[in-house]
Amino acid sequence: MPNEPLHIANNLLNSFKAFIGSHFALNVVNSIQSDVILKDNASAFETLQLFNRVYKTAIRSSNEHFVDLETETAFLKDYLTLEQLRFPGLKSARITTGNINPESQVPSFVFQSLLENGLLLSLANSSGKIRIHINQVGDEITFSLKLDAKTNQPFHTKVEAKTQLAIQRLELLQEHRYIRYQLDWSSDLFMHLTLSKI
Amino acid sequence: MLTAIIIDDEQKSREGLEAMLHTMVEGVSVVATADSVTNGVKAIKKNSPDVVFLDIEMPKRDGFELFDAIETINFEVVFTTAHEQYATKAFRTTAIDYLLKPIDLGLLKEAIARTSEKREKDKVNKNFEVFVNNMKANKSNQQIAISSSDGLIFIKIENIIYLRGDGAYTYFFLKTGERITVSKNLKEYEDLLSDYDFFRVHKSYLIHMHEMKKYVRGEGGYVVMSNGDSVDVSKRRKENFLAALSKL
Repeated sequence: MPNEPLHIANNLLNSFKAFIGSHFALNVVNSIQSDVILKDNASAFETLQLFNRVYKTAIRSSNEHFVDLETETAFLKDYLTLEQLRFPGLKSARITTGNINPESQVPSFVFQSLLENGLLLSLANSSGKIRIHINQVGDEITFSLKLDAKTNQPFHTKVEAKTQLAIQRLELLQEHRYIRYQLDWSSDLFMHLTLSKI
Repeated sequence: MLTAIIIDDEQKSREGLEAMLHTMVEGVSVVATADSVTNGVKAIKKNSPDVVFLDIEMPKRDGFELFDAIETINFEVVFTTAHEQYATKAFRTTAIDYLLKPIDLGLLKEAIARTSEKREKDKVNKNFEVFVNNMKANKSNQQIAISSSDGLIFIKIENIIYLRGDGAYTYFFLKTGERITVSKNLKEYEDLLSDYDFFRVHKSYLIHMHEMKKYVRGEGGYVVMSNGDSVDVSKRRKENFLAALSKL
């Protein structure tokens, strides 16, 4: 973005750092190490392939405030598969898409943070049962998470630092009129993000 | 052989660490694994392990909640986590070690060696306590057991001339001319030997009253022991010391 404010650039950099430097990366490497020790070459290879793709996409996204929806969806699916390899409880989790335009633009490092938060919450409260849906109506893109169980814990009560960065990112982009967004996570089973690029 | 329990929500992580301990580290046997704090507590109660490898960030209850669920922690804890930021809190609890995932084999071996050493020391100390209790119950068995780096040393109390304290260490001076160093402070031996005519004449000295040759008066004065060593008597303790002398 031309003449972008420094704090937006900083937020992007911090979001990238939070992703690649997070416990997620160390846990994936730990998982590969376990596969090697257990001589499960197929699993080690699959995990490496997925991690390779996720990592490269993250590096590419670190230069861009917006990525196309096709890239972001593939990134989310790879990320989810990696987490499913680590946590078999997540095996029923699925990302579905509605009628989306693959070239539509969404902010980088936002959906993944919300998804990660949702997966943690679903493991804690609904044995990993969670549905993720991405849809588009006109210019409006929606990203929603729904837990398939009852829980006493509202979505927004367990928010990781990385997710806070993502929300800050949405606010900054809206403040500077790059996007409009609305986040509804008042329900304990549901999180729904609506956004459109201006 | 140490017995171990692994608590980690991630199956692959549990299996990987178990295999690592089984195939690459000597002196440890995994007796149970658990996927949550709740199941970990059950496994600990059932197996009474020497060491628990404990993950911290788990979805339902984090690793630190284990300490709320168990009244007596009589095992060592090695935290295993990908979260470096928990290290300080971990050491403030009972952690003997903190291993960052992916686990480094060298550090894992060091953690096991440290755990093993600590368990051995604890065992010796426990034996020591039992011994002392037995000794106190039967005064005719007038020996003292002191723990050294490679086991217990038994010393007849009548062979002790005096003890000198220096911070966390105590030096035993014996009739045989030997000097034995023990990593315990003098106060512990003062309590232990008070029934055997030992007297604390100075903050750094505990003497066997029967091994004095001479007391030389002065502000506090000093005592010459049977081996010729001079031991100061502090001004503060002089009055009580003279009272104890009169009762001999």
